[in-house]
Amino acid sequence: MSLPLLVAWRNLIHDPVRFGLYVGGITFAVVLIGVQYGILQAMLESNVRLLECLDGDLVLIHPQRASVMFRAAFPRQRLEQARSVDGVHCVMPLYLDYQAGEWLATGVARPQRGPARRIRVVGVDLQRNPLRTLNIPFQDWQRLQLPGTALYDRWARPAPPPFAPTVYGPLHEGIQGELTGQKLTLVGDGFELGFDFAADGTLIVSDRTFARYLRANMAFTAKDPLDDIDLGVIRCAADSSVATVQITLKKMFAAMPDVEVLTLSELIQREKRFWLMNTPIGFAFGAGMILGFIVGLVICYQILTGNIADHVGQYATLRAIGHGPAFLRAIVGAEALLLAGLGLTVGIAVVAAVQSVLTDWTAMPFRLPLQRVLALAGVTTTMCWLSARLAARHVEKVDPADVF
Amino acid sequence: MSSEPCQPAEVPTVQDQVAQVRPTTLSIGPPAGRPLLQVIGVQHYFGRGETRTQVLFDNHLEVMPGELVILSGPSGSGKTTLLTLIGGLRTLQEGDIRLWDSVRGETISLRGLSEQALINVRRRLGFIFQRHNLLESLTAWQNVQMAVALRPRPEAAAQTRDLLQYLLLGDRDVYGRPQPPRFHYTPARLSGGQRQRVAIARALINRPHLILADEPTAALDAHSGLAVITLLRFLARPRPEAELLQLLRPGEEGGEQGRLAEWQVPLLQRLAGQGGATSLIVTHDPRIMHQADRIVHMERGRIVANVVVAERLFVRNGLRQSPPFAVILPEEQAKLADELLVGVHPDIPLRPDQLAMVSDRLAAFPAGSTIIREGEPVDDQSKFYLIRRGTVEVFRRRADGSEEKVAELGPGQSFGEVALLLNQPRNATVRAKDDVETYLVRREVFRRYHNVSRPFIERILASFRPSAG
Repeated sequence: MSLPLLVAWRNLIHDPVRFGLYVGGITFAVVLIGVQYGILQAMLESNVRLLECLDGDLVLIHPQRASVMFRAAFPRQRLEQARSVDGVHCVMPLYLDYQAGEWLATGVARPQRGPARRIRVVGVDLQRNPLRTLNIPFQDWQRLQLPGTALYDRWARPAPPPFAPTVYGPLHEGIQGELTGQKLTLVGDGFELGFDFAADGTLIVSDRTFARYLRANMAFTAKDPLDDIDLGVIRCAADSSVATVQITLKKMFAAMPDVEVLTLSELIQREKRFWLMNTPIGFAFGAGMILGFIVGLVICYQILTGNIADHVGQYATLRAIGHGPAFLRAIVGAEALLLAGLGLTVGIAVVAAVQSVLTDWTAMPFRLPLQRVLALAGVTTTMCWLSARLAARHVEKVDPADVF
Repeated sequence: MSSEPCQPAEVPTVQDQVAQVRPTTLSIGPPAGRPLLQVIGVQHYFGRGETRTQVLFDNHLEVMPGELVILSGPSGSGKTTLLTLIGGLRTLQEGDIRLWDSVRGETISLRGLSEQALINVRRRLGFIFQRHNLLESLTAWQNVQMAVALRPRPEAAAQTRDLLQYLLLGDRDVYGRPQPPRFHYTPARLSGGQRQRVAIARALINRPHLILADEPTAALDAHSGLAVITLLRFLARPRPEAELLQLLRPGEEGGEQGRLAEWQVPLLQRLAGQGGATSLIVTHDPRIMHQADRIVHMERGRIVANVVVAERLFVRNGLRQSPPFAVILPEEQAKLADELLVGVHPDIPLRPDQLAMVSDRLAAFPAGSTIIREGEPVDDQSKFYLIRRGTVEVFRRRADGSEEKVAELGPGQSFGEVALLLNQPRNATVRAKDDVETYLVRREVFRRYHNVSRPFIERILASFRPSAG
């Protein structure tokens, strides 16, 4: 162990009570940042959960559709064009509606019946399932062949009493309700998707049901309502390169202003970026994280300067026997890094526990993958390192004559 | 004029000691006769504006390599402040301090030195603090390693073990009885004396060429104190083995003076090596005062006495051998001798700048020059000469006018004492055989002391033979 690290460690643990408080202080900051970061990420991820369930490599989308919740469709012809490209295994249309779908649980008597609420409706071509990762049983899928049926999201937003169990009322097999004023029957065991900022829940219907319930306004036009595609999910052949297929498609659609080709991850990132930059989510939780960072910075600074004040004689002695400011700064830096490491270790455990509780409460997708742990470690280390830089100015001012 | 050679007794002959030290320190020590440390007109102030208070006043000091210097004086006299200025712990305000830099092989001035250069100076010093100033969270071993980190080397661990063991912090006490080693004790588990010894080990582990110590033995028991001061003495220069054997007193005879254990001797010899370390020690501890080569006394911010012990013994013995001085009251003899001191060991020749500063009490004569001439009249300005260095030849004129050499006198011997007492012309001619330095006592100075001791002088005069000098 290097000497600065040894001195730093011994200085910290010299008083066990204070040591506990030191670690507690840093842990508090880590939890503050970690929970804010976790909520932010959970919110962003909940908004792309549907996209993450798409079973495809590439996605066709209208370029002006800044978020999938907005309405901007491209013509079906683009799907046919894409299907002709080498390396494309299949192309699946997906219909989305966030605006018009109003659900009223007519099968429930008042007062348990809540008011009509907007619901996200996903229309799919039953011959080409783009949502295989939702693991919907085949027999449930087949039941959508019957017009006026829908699969339901078991993780729809819960409702406060007396409206139970979801904001849409009870969601289970056989429940009937009204979607945009038309009777709809829920079938199957449901699937697990969850709610987000744009919608409190999701229904999956066949494309024909989708057209009948949500594109009825197009019935008076010559156009087939299913010709307006919201998302085109492209699955590439196993022996082809996704990047090559994307380039080919981009070249093909270069002159066409109504469609662009994204990989699935590009679409997810674009969607996250939209929510982060164009809604208060990013600001609110970003500010929360910055606040946590500043609080942690101040806590760590106070710990370090307090520790310097407690050991000023020690630092003066080290200077008097010939150690330079760099050695003293290294001790302060090592103290900061040790605090960061310990605070992070305890903090990660607390954040994981808090997220577990929050997941149970909210059904939001709180996760703590290694990447996020590393990000938190980076933020915590930066916070403590900056504190050390500031606190080191005090140790540089220590007068070696103070030993007398 | 005394014709009998009078060798000064009890004066340590440092020539051989210095000669022993020099070959090994030649590459790291200053050139022969040059000091390791020079304090030149140092003044220092604390506070600012109206509260500014002067604490040091025009202090001058020179310390030679291998000297053990004790800085004494009452509390508040400025000893520690001077020590911190020498150690580069405070910024010099007025005056200068020059240190021999063993790495660069030149003397450097601390005045206006950059912070990094001051750090480099501190690294070559060994500082022993009065309040030990150990790092409370580290063990004794780790505290010493804090200094080792400044000069890492493979043998440092073994040296640390030897040093801590020698300082009675190992697995044996001074009587050889087993004890738990204190190497891995934190300061909280050590007694005051043990902490102080750890601090001493930290200061000495890197073999500094200058050791600055503030009350290093104040908290130590007799055995530990003896071990520390003996180590400092042997670090300064090799000592006769007999001196070491004297310290191996049986347990029951140790008493207040303490004792050294036989098992400590090889450790001491290994640690001290060939010496060459100079120590400047602030202390009030009477147990170690007599170990000093030089005693510097400060009062109210001024160095009021700077005594090289060997020089004091040399001058006192030299004066005592001369009849006019032998009868002066002992305390007056001591005062007169102290008036002559120049603060340089009698084995070391004075530099011209030093000679210029002490011309009232010391004179140098080149080889062949006549110091006094036979038949010269004497008056109140006539002088008595105590030879410090070199050899003189004494001549008397025969009846035919030719000169006859009647004596040859060397260091510690004197001539010209008749002029102190009588108004008779000089009765011999004295010439320098080689380069000679002599202490001078003018008749008017002698008479101040003579008057105090008149009853004794009268007694001597009654039996004095004028023809003898």
